[in-house]
Amino acid sequence: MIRLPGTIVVLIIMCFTMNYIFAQEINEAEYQQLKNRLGTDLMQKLKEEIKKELIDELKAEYTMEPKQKQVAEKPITTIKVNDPRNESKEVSTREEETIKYTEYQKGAEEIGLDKARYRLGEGLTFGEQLLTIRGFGNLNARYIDNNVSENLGIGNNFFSLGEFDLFMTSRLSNRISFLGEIVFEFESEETEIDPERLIIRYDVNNLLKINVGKFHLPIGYWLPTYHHGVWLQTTIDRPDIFNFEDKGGPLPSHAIGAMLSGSALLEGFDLNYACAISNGRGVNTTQIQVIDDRNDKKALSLQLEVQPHIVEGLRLGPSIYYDVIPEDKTNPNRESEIREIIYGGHIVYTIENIELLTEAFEINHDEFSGGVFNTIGGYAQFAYTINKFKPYYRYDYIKYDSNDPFYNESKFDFLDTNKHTLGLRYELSHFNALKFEYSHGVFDDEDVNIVGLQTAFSF
Amino acid sequence: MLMVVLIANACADIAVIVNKSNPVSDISYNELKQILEARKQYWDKGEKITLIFKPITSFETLILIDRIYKINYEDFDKYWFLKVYEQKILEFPKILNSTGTINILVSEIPGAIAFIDVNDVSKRGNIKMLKINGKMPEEKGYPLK
Repeated sequence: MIRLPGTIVVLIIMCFTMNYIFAQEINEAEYQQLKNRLGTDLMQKLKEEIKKELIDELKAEYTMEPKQKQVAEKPITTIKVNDPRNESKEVSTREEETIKYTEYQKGAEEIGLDKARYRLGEGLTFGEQLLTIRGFGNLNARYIDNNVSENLGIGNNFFSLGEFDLFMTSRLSNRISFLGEIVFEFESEETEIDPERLIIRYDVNNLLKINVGKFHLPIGYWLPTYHHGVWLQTTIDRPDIFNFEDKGGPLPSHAIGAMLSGSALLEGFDLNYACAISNGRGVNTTQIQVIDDRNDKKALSLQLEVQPHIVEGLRLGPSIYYDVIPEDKTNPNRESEIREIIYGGHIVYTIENIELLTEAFEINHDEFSGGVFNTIGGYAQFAYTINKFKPYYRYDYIKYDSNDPFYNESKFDFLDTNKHTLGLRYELSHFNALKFEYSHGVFDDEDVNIVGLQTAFSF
Repeated sequence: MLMVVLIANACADIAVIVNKSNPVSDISYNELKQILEARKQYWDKGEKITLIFKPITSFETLILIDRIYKINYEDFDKYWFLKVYEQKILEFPKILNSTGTINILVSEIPGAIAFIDVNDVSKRGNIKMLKINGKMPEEKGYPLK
């Protein structure tokens, strides 16, 4: 005779009893009651799971354990629904939820580094800090029927290498970043490597961003928008008024100092501002005071810009620049300091296919010994995009004061300019544009026709 | 354009999700536009806004490009590159394929904001959906349909 232990006997009796109970037909009310109980149990179970997950997440956050390990340890929650009426909809919802949760867990693995990087805005490690480098380049071909100035190039028809521009950014924390723009400029006999922008920027909030280093002055629209990126601009050349200092431009472009900028988002319009304090110009148009300031007098500039909400794409505003240009003791015609004030304004409308840019400036030079000289200039440009084509037109105008010693004593010819340009830009690829244009200009009463071709690219 | 309209009609609403710690629960369409255009880069409480998109070929991002940016979708990355180049923003927005990853990032980053199919919003984690002009997704008048 086989003798069973008492516990086993009890278990067998319980099994028979349970089997008997569940084999009974249940009515609708009992079913609902059972369903509700099951639902409550499931919800409770789910809540516990979520709670456990959140605790694990928090633990990971503070201990910085490798995310992958945690995911491996965490079982995937699968909830089996014991539904006697086989409600397929509910089952499918649970399955979807399980799939989403699995994806959620998979995502957790992927973003391990991202999480650390974000968090380490307050503690980024060397291994995770990234330096992003992008670049611009361009190659030009040009024919000029009457070359009146070296500003246009030497000779009548030639190929020329444009700028080779390396643009780099790196984040130093969530609110601090570095931006550098190094340009290789190809001259007739040498290649010049010029750090055009080197900026450390501190983001405080929407209203205040602090830039320190070498930057482009907040004057007008073109300069702070396109900088040295020829590919970004529609046309082959910059407007004549915005030629850089070393290309015979009348305006100051680069400065070393500090700049505050920001935006106030107001009812009806956005108000952007930028104001800078810098060393200012050197003794001539090409000199940028990078490591010192000859006369200790700082240049100040302020730009305001309004973006009305009612006309999307419209930006307009004034700018003002003030500096005292140091005297040049080696030049008898430049023996006194010059007070320079530049007034300017821009109206820009860019939306969808339309690009309309207009800017105007007055450059006022006041020799403290008595002479006052005014130069005025500006441009208006219109372009319209049709698929990959962008036909454009620009009018350039500059009228110098012929007695202005600051321009007269420069190595460049500052010629009065009255120029019309008609061109076509074609996007060969997403990162390569081909530009063809014809210009007719009158430079100091001399007629000049220019045909230009450019391939400009970003890499 | 026609394609975007067809996509918009065929797909679910786009949910705007943020971290639960974000005090904002209802946002105006105008403010949302300011955020998407990076004109507004900080929440009112000072937290930095981190924009998270799905890839430009996703219906969510295509609809945003059409409604907000009004540019060719191929120019979307150029749009952001210009912002970096002009020093308007510190870095590119995050573009992620996996909705799981987006859900997690939003629940991890206090200032994050993302735009995903309303059906892909995880019910777990530290996430909440924003109303736009007082409307939740799938309500009549919701602007990101």
